Amino acid sequence: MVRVSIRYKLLLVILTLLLIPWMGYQYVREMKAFALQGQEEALLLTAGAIATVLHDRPELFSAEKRGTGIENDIGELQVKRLDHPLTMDGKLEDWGRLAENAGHYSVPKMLRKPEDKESDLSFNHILGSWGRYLYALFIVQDDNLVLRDTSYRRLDNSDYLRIYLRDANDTMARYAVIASKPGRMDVYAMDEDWRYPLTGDPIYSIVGYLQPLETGYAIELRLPRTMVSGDARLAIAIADVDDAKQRTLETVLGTSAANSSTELGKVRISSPEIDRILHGLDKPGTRIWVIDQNKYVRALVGDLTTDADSETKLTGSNMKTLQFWMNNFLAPLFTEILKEPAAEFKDLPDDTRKRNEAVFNQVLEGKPATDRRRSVDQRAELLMAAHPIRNEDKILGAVIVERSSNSIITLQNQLLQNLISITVIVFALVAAALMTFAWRITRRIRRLSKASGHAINPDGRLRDVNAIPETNAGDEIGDLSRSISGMLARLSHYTRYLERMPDTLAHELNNPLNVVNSSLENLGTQHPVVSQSKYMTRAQNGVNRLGSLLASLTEAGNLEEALETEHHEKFNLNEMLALFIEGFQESHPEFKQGFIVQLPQHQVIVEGSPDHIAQMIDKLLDNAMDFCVPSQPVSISLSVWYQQAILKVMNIGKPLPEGMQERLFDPMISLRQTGDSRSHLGMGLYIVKLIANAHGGTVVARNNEAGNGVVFEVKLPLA
Amino acid sequence: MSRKIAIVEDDPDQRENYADAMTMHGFEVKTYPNRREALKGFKEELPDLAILDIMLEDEPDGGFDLCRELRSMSKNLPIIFLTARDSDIDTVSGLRLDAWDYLTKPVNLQYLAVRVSSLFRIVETLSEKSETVDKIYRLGDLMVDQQSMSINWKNQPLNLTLTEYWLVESMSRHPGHVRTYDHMMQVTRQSLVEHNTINGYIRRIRNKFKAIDSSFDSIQTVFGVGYRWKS
Repeated sequence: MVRVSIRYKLLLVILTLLLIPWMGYQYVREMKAFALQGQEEALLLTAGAIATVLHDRPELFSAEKRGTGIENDIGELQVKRLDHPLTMDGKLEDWGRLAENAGHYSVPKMLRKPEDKESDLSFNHILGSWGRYLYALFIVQDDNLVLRDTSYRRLDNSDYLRIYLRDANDTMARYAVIASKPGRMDVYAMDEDWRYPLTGDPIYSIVGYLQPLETGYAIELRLPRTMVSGDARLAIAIADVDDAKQRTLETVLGTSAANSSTELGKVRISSPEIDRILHGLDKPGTRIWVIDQNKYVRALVGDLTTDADSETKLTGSNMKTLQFWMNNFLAPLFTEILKEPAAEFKDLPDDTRKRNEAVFNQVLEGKPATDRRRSVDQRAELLMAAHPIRNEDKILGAVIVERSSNSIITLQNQLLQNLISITVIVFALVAAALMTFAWRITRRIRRLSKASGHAINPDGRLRDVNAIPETNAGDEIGDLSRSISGMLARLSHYTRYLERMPDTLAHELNNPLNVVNSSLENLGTQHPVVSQSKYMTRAQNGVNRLGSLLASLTEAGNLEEALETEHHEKFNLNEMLALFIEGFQESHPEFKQGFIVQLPQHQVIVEGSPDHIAQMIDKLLDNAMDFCVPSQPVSISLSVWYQQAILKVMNIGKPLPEGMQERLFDPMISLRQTGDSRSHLGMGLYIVKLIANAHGGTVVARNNEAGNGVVFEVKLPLA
Repeated sequence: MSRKIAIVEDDPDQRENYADAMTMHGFEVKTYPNRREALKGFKEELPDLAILDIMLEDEPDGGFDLCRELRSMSKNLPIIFLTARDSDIDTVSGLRLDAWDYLTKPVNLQYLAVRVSSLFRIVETLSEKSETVDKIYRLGDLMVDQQSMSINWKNQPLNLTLTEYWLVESMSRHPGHVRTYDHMMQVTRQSLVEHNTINGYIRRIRNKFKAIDSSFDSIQTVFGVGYRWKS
């Protein structure tokens, strides 16, 4: 039987509590799906709301002629709507995040390449508009900045910026923005070959500012919005001269091919009207597009990235101190298992437009659509909802609202963190409570089990029945101990009844025996002839035997009573034993083989009743003589071992049968052959045990080492 | 004039057997089955000697109660208890009922008759108050009056029962010699006596001596054999 303590079983049961976090995880996942769906719906509602504002306002979409589609939009210049004016000082700070994202908005086109080497020129640019101005920032990577040498009339022998501009009337204008020193730049209208200025007068409506950088330089540019209004097309290029001595123009890199006026990019300044409408909806993490029927982007506000400080916090969360502490404590664990959403990710409108073809097509057919996709750099998941804008039966365009699911993931992670923290706390508390409980239960059960074990002494006799603990407890253990206690009480009654049985029996038998006896006596007296009869003699013998049987039956009971009341005295067991054996030998002359006696030289003082000790020895010697083979003496020895007097009585004879060593001392157990002329009830060794125990001693029987005899060993404590 | 004996015993067979035996020995016998009838009989006429069973019908200690009542009627009336167990003997001693003797069942009727005769002789002696010197012998501090079956220790009378007297007399008659258990069993004039019963008698005898003289140690135990009177 494998022994498993209740404690360990309960511990195993406690482990099932670990299902709680799993359950919570499932729940949070469900919730996330639900939240995403909710957000999708919210986005769709937003898109719908915006679309509603734009419904039936074709003028918003007709301010410029239709392009022919996406394929013609190469070189298109996206103009960001700024929320503040910029100063032309070469510092990039006021561009904010736009400066960091410069260049992610389009791919520069090579207009002129050096013949003999790979060009080292590249730039990032960004366009923005605020109020009456259009701003541009060009961050140019150039290994060698060559500034204008004012002694030359030609302007194409230094690094400069070209502006290709074709107004709504198809009139082409070229401007060179050039610097002879870092800082404010000069602007000239240029000829077709970009060699000489048309006039010597600089143009002041365009402002440029050059700021050298470690990897090259930055140019800030400001144009009046009027220059690029309507259907105007614009391209901006950087011309690069690397050798300050030869000053040959090596590379020209532009926002579009710009070699013919048709290839100039449209300027995508958000339409002011739509912008105005959308402006109020611009919030971090949300990007709103308005496209027209040709999937041409009419307006684009907002940014998908969220600022760290505007991250969604769990509102209404009753974050307790302990839990907070737990969250901190478990922080390493959380970073291990929970993936924080990327606060920064890249998602280019140009590229994404192609990805959302399906959504665009669906929405432009007049059906609201939603979609989820990974951001271009795969670092975030984006939600998008699209809603068509109608004008009577026609579909003017669509509003597309995008939002990253980061806030939801953040929310989910916080929920999970809280859940894990709470689970850990609850788990610890419940485990502690259950373990305490289990400890108490097992302790009580152990106490009960110990007490029950002790309730019956090794002889099978009941000790104190009232020693069972827990009988006042109101639970099942209490019931158990009460039932054990009750059981012991009943057992005790029964045992007492059994113990009294021989006595009671003897008592009850005594009276009829007395009748028989006295009747026989009277019969003999009245009829002397009868008393001569052998039958009379046999009847008398029978009565006497019956009487002695009854007497020995009561002897043990009487002895027990006597032992309880007996006065104890200290005496020399050694001397007593010597006298006893001397007298015993005298009174048993028929035992020819005699006794071998080994007694120590010193006194062996024990405390007790000498009469009863004598009686005990008498029974032991009687027993030894009865089982001794003829011609072999009985050995008696006394010794002292560890504060105990050890009395051994040994006879040569038949060894004890297996399993009898213990039972031998029980009442009414006898190994004597039936038919023995003497009356025996097997009470002799029981009396030996009673006396030994009453003196705080023990008695055991065993076969001797040679296996040809039996040794009885009585141990009595020394006084 | 024959002596009158009252026998109180609830078992009719035993009662009649005792009565028959006593009648055969020439005593006049009256029998009672229980305490109430016995008491009624005693009030009409006191017997010369009473033989009482301790357990009487529904009264476990009926014999003891009867003994007390009888003692209140007559101080010197000999009473013999019939007991079934040794513990009753202790009770008889312990209650100081002044019973004159007790017998354990099964009762040998011969011995019973001897006892009754002996007790009557004691009563006679006591009433005559005649000290016949030849029946008295002394052994140190011990004085044994064989006529009145009484014993004095250091000139103080001991209140011994008949059986106890017989035992002391038996030991003191052969001082220094061991009286074996077997011999002492004969002396007690009871049919069946265990060693323990003898030990019990000796214990009670010693206690009675020690009540007078705490240094009493004249009765020596010869373990496993018997007792002897130290000469």
